[in-house]
Amino acid sequence: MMDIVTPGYMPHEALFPIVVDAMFTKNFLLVMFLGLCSFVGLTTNSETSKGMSMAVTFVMTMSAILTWPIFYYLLKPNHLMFLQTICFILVIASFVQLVEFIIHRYSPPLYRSLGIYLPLISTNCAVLGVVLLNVKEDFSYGASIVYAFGAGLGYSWVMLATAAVREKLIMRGVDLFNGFIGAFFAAMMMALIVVSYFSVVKL
Amino acid sequence: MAETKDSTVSILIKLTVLAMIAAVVLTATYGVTKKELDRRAELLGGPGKQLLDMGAVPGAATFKAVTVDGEDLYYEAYDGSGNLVGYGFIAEIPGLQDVMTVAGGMDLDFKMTYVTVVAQKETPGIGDKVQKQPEFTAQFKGVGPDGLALCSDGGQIDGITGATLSSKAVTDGVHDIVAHIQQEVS
Amino acid sequence: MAEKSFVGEIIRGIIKDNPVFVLVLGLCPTLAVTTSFANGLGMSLAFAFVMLGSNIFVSAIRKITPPGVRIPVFLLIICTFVTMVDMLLEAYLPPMYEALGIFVPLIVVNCIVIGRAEAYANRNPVLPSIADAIGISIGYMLVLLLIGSIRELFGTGKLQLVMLMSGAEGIKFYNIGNPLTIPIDPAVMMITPPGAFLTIGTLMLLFKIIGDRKRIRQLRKEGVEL
Repeated sequence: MMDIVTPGYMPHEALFPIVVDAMFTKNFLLVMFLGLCSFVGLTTNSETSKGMSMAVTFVMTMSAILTWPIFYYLLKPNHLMFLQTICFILVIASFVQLVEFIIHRYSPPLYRSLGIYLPLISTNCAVLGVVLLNVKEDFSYGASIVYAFGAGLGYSWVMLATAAVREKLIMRGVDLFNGFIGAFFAAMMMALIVVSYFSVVKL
Repeated sequence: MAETKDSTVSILIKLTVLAMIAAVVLTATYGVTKKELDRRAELLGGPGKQLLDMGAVPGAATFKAVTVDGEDLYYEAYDGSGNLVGYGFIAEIPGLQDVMTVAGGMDLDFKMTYVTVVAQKETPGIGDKVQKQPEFTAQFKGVGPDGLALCSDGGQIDGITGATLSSKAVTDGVHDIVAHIQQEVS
Repeated sequence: MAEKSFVGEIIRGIIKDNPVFVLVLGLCPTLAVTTSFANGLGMSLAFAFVMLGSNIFVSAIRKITPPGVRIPVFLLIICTFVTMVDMLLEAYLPPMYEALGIFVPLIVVNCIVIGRAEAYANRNPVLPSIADAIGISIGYMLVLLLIGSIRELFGTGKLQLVMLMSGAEGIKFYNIGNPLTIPIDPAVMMITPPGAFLTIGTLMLLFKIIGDRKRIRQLRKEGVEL
């Protein structure tokens, strides 16, 4: 039988590299290719991408907070690791549903700006991706939350930057590049920066 | 919604039945795959047997794990009559994309006798040459801790053209492991 | 509604409803794992297994699925198949399991599977649902293989075709023939993430230009002045 090792609460990892990894070198959209559906679908205008970015960052961080104890106190001691996917997706989906319900009830302005994006998030692979990576990397509780938040920030800056580019393209009327194609080429250039620059400059 | 003809109880029963079917199917699959995984693990043997199979330390007959801080840090290699002839290791080192697993052995003077990359996720066609071109890891043979660096860093190892960063990761990773073992031994 | 033929449904899934180029869904694995032909094949086979299983079961129980909780029901079914394929890959094809990494569990949130469950399987009998799953899977596989081949060929300078077969060493991926080579220097960038965006962007641009030409010709034929 395998020993049960729990990584502990306090981060023993160096946090700065984790944040830089999550935001740039292993950026979720540009390098890890997670959450691309929302990327091509919602970056047509910067208001929607702002809303989506905030919602994703929030849900990612909260999912990391919720799933870590479930994995290390419920699944791992009982050798039920093979149920992790099913467990995580149910936790995320119910959490998103709960949040939607709460802000719909208590904060209509917040619901108007954030609420419509929430249902999109339970099937966003970036959120499931971050919790799966957290357990794969054996992060401590603190580090997993930091990683999730950093990944959310990384997601946000790419969303906002791409939205800015695409809005400009639409205004200029460059018609061949208006749709998804423009988004892909913008993403390519940003990915080039992230991959080439940060693999040469060691942090 | 107008179409809610199911009562709460019937929804609950249906979901429970579905979840139970899913649980049965998954447990069955788990049982089957677990058996296969166990079979393969047995075939492979523990780290000691793997080191023996790849001939990491020449003349070694058994490998004994040395545990430091609850982790198997390295393995002491003994020959047939029980004399210590060298050290072996299987360890994870940071790669460019993800961690790589390297294995190797060294004699009592910490001169490498064998190094190989067991698993890696470097860029296909480029960084993965550290595993797929055995000429690279063959260079490590006979090199002591001081020479374990790329030529450009003043060592004795030639990096693979085009895959300098992955070569550097392997070389520096092995150097760190050897330095760590040397420190623990003395 | 006219009676739909089994083959017609399959072809519709490949061309008219092509998951990547037409529906623009399921992009994450399309770009992430297509660094080589072999990885593209492995991913699309895993995907096809889940797609087929999910479509069959969603369609089989569509009459008793409570409409209010249908999304959780779909998720549960898809999750079961994904976990199965994940475990089977780990046990029987460890190199593929290593290469695909977290993208196998992430099939759960692949919008194509849940999208087809919602839009098709939940409204149609089992047989057309199977046809739909086969068509979508083949369409997806062609795209993954195309992108994988382009990236492998230009990124490493050679292309090795593989096939899942059972042979002397059990079921695994065997090479078919010698690798194709091109007489130009490989561009490393094609295997790295920017290369993925470049490939799919260029392919979409190409398809768009072809599509536009076709539409213009069609309109000319109908006598529309442009």
